[in-house]
Amino acid sequence: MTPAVLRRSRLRRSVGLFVAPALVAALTACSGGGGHAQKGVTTTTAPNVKTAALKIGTVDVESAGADGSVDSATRRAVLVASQKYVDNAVLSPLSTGAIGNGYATLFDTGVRAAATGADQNTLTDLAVGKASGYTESATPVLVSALADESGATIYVATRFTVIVKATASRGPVTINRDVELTFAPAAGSGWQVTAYRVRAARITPVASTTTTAVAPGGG
Amino acid sequence: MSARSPRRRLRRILLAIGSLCTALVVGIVGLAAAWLAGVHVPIATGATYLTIVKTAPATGGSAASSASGASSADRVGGGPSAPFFVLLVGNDSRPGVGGARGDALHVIGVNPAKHQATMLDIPRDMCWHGDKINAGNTVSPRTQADDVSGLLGVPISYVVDVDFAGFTGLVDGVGGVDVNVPVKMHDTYSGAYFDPGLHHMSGQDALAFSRDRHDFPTSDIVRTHNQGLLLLDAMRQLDKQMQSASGEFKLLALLGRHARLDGIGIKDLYRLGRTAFALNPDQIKSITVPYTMGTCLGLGSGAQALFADFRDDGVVETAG
Repeated sequence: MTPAVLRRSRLRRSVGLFVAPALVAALTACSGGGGHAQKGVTTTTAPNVKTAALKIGTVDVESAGADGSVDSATRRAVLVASQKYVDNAVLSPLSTGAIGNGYATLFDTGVRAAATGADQNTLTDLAVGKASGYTESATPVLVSALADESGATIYVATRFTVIVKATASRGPVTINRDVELTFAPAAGSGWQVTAYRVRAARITPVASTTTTAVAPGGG
Repeated sequence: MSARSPRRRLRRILLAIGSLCTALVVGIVGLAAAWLAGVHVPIATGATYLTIVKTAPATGGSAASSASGASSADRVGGGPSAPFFVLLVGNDSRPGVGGARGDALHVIGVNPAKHQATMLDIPRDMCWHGDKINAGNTVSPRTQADDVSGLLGVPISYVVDVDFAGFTGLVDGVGGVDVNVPVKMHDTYSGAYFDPGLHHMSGQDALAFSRDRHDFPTSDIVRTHNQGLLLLDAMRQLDKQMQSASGEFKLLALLGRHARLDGIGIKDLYRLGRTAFALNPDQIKSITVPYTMGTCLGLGSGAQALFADFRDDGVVETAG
């Protein structure tokens, strides 16, 4: 009787010893996508690659008439698009040496030419080149929206900062990037960037490389 | 039995502590791994969840200070690229007074390519086709724009028209405006009581300042000039708010609630405003249209040359 009880008791303890940590680990590993695991996020392959997971911070809605709100689908859409911007414009150049394939289509036709032309050096880190490794972090994404007289959302803007510390071919560099992307409804469906304010500072231990690309509206 | 029981209890306690420690260590390692991977780490607590994200300063100010400069790009699609003209109207409609005459008339010419603008201030008593020019607004903001367009010879595409309530609502909505009052004001009609110098004005204060004409020998002429000063002071302050989408959206929403728009809706006003606020307000000239005195003011010498200068590119280079 006693040995059987002891065996069961030991078995329970053994199970407890492994199940509890496993549950915690499983909870940690499995539920990570609940708030963020967007489809289409580029997975980088360079050593030490980590993707800064953007998350929604505060949401502010201004309305010209009836009360407006930003529904969860719109929040998710602009968060996914902002994440795509980070992945394609910032991380992809560092991990592969090239801008991600989804970069250009993030922008509507009014600004696409500038985003892939005159402003590309500011909007992306292509100029830094492929890095042997990097770490990056991001602030929560502040979401602002404008609703028209009927309460319909006509613009949504995301604002966040990304900081990347990379080891580039020319040595270590810290990239501080303040990003504001204003989204408008796309022609078919979804949201595309129709305006942007991006400021990037690339700091190296010996010198800072800076460029300026400011242009009037009109795309 | 009594001797074995405490040992068994001790062993159970040690096993429990060991199990807990192991769970904690593995859990922390798991959380750290998730954190290093930059993923969100929800803890099932109903609708809310704990997110572990590596955070950074909210702004890049430190980077800017340590760097020798920064690369920046500011662009909006669909904004105008050619010069355009906007009429700002302050009408006198208020409880007990109808008609909505255009008592404050200001035309802003914007040249996006040159990053420059000029504002022409038009006295409301200016003659136009046998009547005062401000009468057009009693018909509609578009009629007012057509009359002003005829006077100046410029195409006015957009009109922003506010009444008394709209004006005070706008000013209060942006938290008031700082106005540099040029001379002492003591006017019971408008309620303007200001000493010279800088004043932070509420909507009612700004309205009184904009309406005061009894303090001045040239009446409406000085009032028109003062309105121009207030607009430029307001633009300087709004310029700071207009450096972010949230500030822009706030102002556009205020305009939508407090102003009548003609020729443009809120959606396009965003693109227009973003273009306009790319300008440096300190470089915007405010020029009162030359006049000749009379019950109904005539155009003074130099007016036509001024209009021609304004007309060609929205910017007056020869005066101000």
